[in-house]
Amino acid sequence: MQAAIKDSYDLVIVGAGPAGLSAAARAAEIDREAGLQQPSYVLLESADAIAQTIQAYQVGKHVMDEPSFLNLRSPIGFSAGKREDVLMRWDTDVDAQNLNIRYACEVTEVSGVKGDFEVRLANGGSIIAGAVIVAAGTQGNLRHIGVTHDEPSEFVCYSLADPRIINDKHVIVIGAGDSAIENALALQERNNVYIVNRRSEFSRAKSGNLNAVLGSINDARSTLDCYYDSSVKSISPPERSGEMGEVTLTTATGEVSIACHLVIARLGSTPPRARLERMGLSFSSPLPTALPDLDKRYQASVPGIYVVGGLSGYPLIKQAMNQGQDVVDFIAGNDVEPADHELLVARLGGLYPEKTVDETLDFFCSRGALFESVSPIGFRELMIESRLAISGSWARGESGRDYIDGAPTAIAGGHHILDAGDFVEKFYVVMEGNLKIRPYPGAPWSQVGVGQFFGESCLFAGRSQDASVRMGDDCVVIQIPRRILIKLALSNTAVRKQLDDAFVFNLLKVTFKPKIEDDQLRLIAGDCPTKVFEAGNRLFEEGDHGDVLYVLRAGTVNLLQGLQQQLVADQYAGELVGQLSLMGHPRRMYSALAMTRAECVEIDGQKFRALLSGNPEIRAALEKDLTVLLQETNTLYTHRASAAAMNFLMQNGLGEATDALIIDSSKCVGCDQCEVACASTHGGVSRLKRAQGPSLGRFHIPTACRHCETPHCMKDCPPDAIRRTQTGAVYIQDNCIGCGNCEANCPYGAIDLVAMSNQKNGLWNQLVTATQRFLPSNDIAPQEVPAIKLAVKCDACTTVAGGPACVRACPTGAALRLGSGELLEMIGE
Amino acid sequence: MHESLLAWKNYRYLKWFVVLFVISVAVFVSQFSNAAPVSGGTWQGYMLGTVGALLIVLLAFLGIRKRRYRSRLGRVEGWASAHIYLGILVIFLSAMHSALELQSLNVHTLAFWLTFGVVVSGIFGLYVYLHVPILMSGNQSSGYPDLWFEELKELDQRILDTTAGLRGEVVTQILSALRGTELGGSKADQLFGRDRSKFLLSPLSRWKKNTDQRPIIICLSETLPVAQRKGINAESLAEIFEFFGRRQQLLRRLRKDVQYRAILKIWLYFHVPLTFALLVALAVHIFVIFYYW
Ligand SMILES: Cc1cc2nc3c(=O)[nH]c(=O)nc-3n(C[C@H](O)[C@H](O)[C@H](O)COP(=O)(O)OP(=O)(O)OC[C@H]3O[C@@H](n4cnc5c(N)ncnc54)[C@H](O)[C@@H]3O)c2cc1C
Ligand code: HEM
Ligand code: SF4
Ligand code: SF4
Repeated sequence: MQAAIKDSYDLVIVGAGPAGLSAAARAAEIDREAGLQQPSYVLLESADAIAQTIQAYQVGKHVMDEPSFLNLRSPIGFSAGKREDVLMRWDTDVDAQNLNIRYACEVTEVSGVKGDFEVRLANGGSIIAGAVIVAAGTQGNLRHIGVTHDEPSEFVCYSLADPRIINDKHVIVIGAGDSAIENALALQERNNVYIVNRRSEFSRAKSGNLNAVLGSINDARSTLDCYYDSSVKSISPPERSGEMGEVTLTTATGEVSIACHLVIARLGSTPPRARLERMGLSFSSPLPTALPDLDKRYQASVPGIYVVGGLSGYPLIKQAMNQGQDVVDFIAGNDVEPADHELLVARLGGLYPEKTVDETLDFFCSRGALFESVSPIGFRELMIESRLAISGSWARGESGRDYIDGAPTAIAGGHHILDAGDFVEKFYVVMEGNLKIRPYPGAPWSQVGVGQFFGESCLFAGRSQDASVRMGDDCVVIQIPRRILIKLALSNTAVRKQLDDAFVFNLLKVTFKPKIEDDQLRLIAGDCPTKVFEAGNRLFEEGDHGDVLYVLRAGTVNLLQGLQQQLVADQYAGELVGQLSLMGHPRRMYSALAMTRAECVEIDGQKFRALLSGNPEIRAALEKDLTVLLQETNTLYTHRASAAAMNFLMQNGLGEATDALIIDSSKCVGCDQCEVACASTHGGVSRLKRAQGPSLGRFHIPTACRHCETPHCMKDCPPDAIRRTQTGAVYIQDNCIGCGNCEANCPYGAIDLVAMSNQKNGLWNQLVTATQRFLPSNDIAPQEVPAIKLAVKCDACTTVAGGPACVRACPTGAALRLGSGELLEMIGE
Repeated sequence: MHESLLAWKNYRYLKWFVVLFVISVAVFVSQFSNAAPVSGGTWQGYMLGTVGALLIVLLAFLGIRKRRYRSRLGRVEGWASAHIYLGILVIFLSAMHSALELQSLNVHTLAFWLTFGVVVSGIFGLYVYLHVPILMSGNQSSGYPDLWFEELKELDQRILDTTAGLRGEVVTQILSALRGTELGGSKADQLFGRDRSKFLLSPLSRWKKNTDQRPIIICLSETLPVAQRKGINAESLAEIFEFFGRRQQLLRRLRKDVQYRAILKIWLYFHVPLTFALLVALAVHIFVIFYYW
C-alpha cells in the first residue's frame, strides 16, 4: 500500500481524519487524471490507523451524517451507520484508491514559504512540500508518556475503544483524569489493573468517577490498585507479542517494576492552537478556542498553508470531507464552487441579482463595523446558519422564494419580531432599511439602522428581556442564531468588544432611562472593563471601602449580610450591584457572592458621581430604586429560615434556572403521576426522576432540567442540536448524534442517553400512535446491534398542548415549575 | 404555593359545595308540604337521586381523567379538589334521596352503603394525603430512599469485608443478621411497619427474631468486651458494631418510608373497587326502579 518513499511532494496533508482522507483521495484522483505514476501528495497520520477521532468513539456508536441538507462531495464514501462500518468503508476505500498514507508520522512543525515548505516530523524526519493542508482535527495531540518505547504499539496505547476485548491481563493505566479512571474501572472487571497517578489524589475527576475509583482502590478484594505520587521511569516492551513486558515506576518510596501485558496512557491532549501558531498562522483572538484566520479558499495567513475540517471551525464529518475535496481543487486551480454554495444561493435569495454570492457576502460584511474583522470563511459559515428576513419591496416579486429551504422570510413591515418578556435566540443585524425598537415597555420607539444590530443584551445573559422589536418597511435583516454569534464573539475579540460596548451602553440607557444624553453615556460605556467572577468568588466584602459599581452582564450574584452571611437579595443579569456605596455610603453594606459564573461590567465611582451631579433627576430615580432594594433586603434579613432555603436552592442550580421543577414534599403523595405523565407525552421515557435529587425541608428538587440561563449542555454539541425556544425552553432536536457531550456537561444530571429504535415513524404511525419516533428499547439484548443512543431531556413540554404535563397531572399541586425570579417570592411565603 | 388542594382556586369547590348543599336541602325540605311521604319516589326524591347519580359518574371519571396525560381539561389538582367536595355532597344527596329508609338489605340500600363506603374511604384518603406527606418528608430530611439503599449496600459490603478477618460464632451472627434482614414484606407488614428480620446465634441454632436489629446489636455489645480474651479481633468487631448502629438507623428510616408509602396507597384498594361495585349497584338500582315503574 505504501508507495516508494520520496521526500518531496507538491502537497502534504496532515491528519488522516475525514477531512484529510477526502483531500488525499481527491489528490489521488487528480494524479490519476494527469496520468502520474508517482503520487504528488502524501497524507501523514500520527497514529497507526486512520481517523483517530472516530476510532475513539465508543464501540458500536451510531455515526450520524448531519447536516442532512448538505450533500457529500468526496471520493471517499460516507453515510450514517455504525462506527465500525464507517471505519471499514474508509479502510476499503483507502486501499482501493491506493492512497499514499504514512502512519506514525506526527507533524511537529512547518516552516518555509509557499512552494518550499519543510514539514518536520516527530520521528526526526522531514518532508519538502509545495503546499500543506492541515486537517489535524480539534482533539489535539495526545500527550505521550515521554520515555523511550512510548510510541503507540501493541504494548502501549493511548486510547481504549472496547474494554471488553481485554481479558485476564495485567494492565497498567497511566493518568488520573476521567478517561483514565473510566478505562481502569471498565478493565478491572476482567483484569488486574494498576492505575498510576502522578499526584496523591484524584483531583481532576468527576465526583461519580472519583467515588467509584476510590471505592475500588480501597476495596481489598477488587483487582484495581493505585500507585500514588508515581511516574513512569521506563518501559520495556515484551520480547514477543502476547507476552508480558515491564514498566518501572518512580514512587515516593523508591522504584517499582511491574510486569504487564498492556500499558494504557490517558494523559489528555495538548490543544492544537500552539502547533498552528508555530507554523506562523495568525488567530483573530487570544482565546484558546479561537479559530485560525482563513480566506474563502481555506488558505491561512501563511500563503500555501490551508486548514480544513474540525480545525477550521466546521464540527461535523460531512463538512470536513467536503472541505477536504474542495481545498485540493482550489490548490489545483480548479475554480469549483464550495459544497455549500447552493445553500448560500438559497440563503441570499437573489436579493441582489447583479452581485455574485461572494460579492453579496463582501457587501454584507462591509455594512457597519460589526463584521469588519470577520474572516470571509467565518462570515460564510455565519450566513449558512442564519436566515434573512425581508420586507417591503425586497419581498415583492419573486414568488415561490419561500418554498426553498432556508430562503429569506418575508415579514410585513410593522410586524412583531420580539415582545417584552421573550427570550432572544436570535441576533439581528440590519442590512437595508430599519428595525423599530422599544427598549422597555413605555419607552419611545426608536430605529436600528443599516449596520446596526439588536440582541446583544441577551447574548450572554440568557434571560428574557424587556425590549420589543418590529420589522421596518423595505428592510433586510440578518437573523443570526444566538449560539452562532456567541461562537463568533468567543473567537473574535473585535466583535466581542463591539458587542460589549453596545451592551453597556444600552444597559446604562435603560437604567438611567433617557435622562442622560447618548454622548455622555457613550463616554462612560466606552471604557468599562468587564470582570469575570467564577462561582463562589466575591465581588466585594461587607465593610470594604468600595468605589466601583457593577452592572451584571450574565450570572447571578447574592448579597449576604451579617456574621451568618445571611442572604438578603439576589441580583440577576441586567441589574446593578454595589450602587449603595456610590450614593455617599462609603462602606459596603453587603458582601456580594457570585452564585454562578458572573460577568460584570465595572463602572468607576468617580465617573458615576460626576454623571449624577449634573442630573438631579437621575439621582432621584436611582435613590428610589435603592429604597426598594433596601426594603427587600430587610424583609429577607428578618426571615432566617428562608435564607437557608434560598441558599439551598441556589446551591442546586436554581439561581441559574429559568424554569425548574420543584416538588413541595409536604404535599407530594409519591404517586409518580408526574413521571408517568412525562413519559407518556414523551415517547415513553420520563425526563424527570422524581425520587432523586436533593431536598431541604419542603423543597425537593427532582433530577430534571432547570432550563439554565446559559445552558451548559449547549456549549459543545457538534451538530448544534440543542436549541432554545423564544419562551426559554431548552430542547434537543432530532439531529442529535448521541455523542454524550451534553450529558457530561449538564451539572444537574438532567440529560440521559437513551437507546432509541432507529426507525423513523411513518405518517401512519404518527397519526395512529401519536408517539414520537423514539421508543425505549431497554429490552434489546446486549449482543444485538446496539440501538442508537440519543440524548433526551425535559423540553418544558413545548410540543404538548396545554403546557407541562408533570404539573398538570399532579393531583395535589405538589409539582411546581419556577423561574429564578420567582424563588424569592416563594420563599418569602 | 402553600395552600392544599382543598383551597384550589380560592376554595372554588367549597363554594360550589355550599351552594349545592343549600339548594338540595331546600329541595329536600320542600317535600314535607307534600301529601305523599318523604321518599325517593317524589319529584324531589327523583331530582336528588338524579343529581347524585350524575355526580357519582362524574367522580368516577376522575380515574379516567387522571390517566389522560394529554388532556387539557383542567389540571388533575382541580379535578381532585372538585372530587372531594362533590364526593362529600354525594353522601348527603344519597341520604336525602333515600330519606334514610335503610332498614332492609336490597340492591337499593346496597347502593347506599357502597356510596357510604366509597365516601368514608375517600375521606380517610384525603386525611392521609394531607398528613402523611409531611411525615414522609420529615423522615427524608437527610437523603432519600435510593440513597439509603446505596448506603446500606455499601455498609453491608464493609461489614462483610471486616468480618472476613474474624472467626467463631460471632461470624455466624453477623452474616446471618445481614442475610436475615427483611424490608417490605407483605402489604400488611408494610402497612404496620412490621420487621421480620432474623438471625442465628450459632450455626446450629434456630433463627431468632432480629426486630429493629436490636437483638444482634445486644449480642455484639455482649461479645465486644470479652472479644480480646476470646481471641477475636476487637478492633474489627468494634467497627462492625458501629456499622450495625448506622444500619439500624437506615433500616428504620427505610421501613418508615415503606410504611408511609403503603398508607398512601392502601385506602385506594378500598376506594376504587368499592367505586366499581357502586357503579354496578347504581345501574341495577336505576334499572330496577324504572323496570318496576
Ligand atoms: C464523541 C464524538 C461523537 C461525534 N459524533 C459525530 C457524528 O455522529 N457525526 C458527525 O458528523 N460528527 C461527529 N463528531 C464530530 C466529528 O468527529 C468531527 O467533526 C470530525 O472528526 C472532524 O474531522 P477532521 O478530519 O477535521 O479531524 P479528526 O477526525 O479529528 O482527524 C484528525 C486526524 O489527524 C491526526 N493528527 C492530529 N495531529 C496530527 C499531527 N500533528 N500530525 C499527523 N497527524 C495528526 C489525528 O490522529 C487524526 O487521525 C463527533 C465528535 C465526538 C468527539
Ligand atoms: C361516590 C363518591 C366517590 C366516587 C365514585 C369516587 C371515585 C374515585 C375514583 C374512581 C378515583 C380514582 C382513583 C384512581 O384511579 O387512582 C378516586 C380518587 C380519589 N378520591 Fe374518590 N370518589 C368518591 C368520593 C370521594 C370523597 C368523598 C373523597 C374525599 C373526601 C374522595 C377522595 C379521593 C381522593 C383524594 C382520590 C385520589 C385522587 C388522586 O390521587 O388522583 N373521593 N375517587
Ligand atoms: S440540561 Fe442541564 S445544563 Fe442544560 S439547561 Fe437543563 S439543567 Fe441546564
Ligand atoms: S404527581 Fe405530584 S404528588 Fe404525585 S409524585 Fe409527582 S409531585 Fe408527588
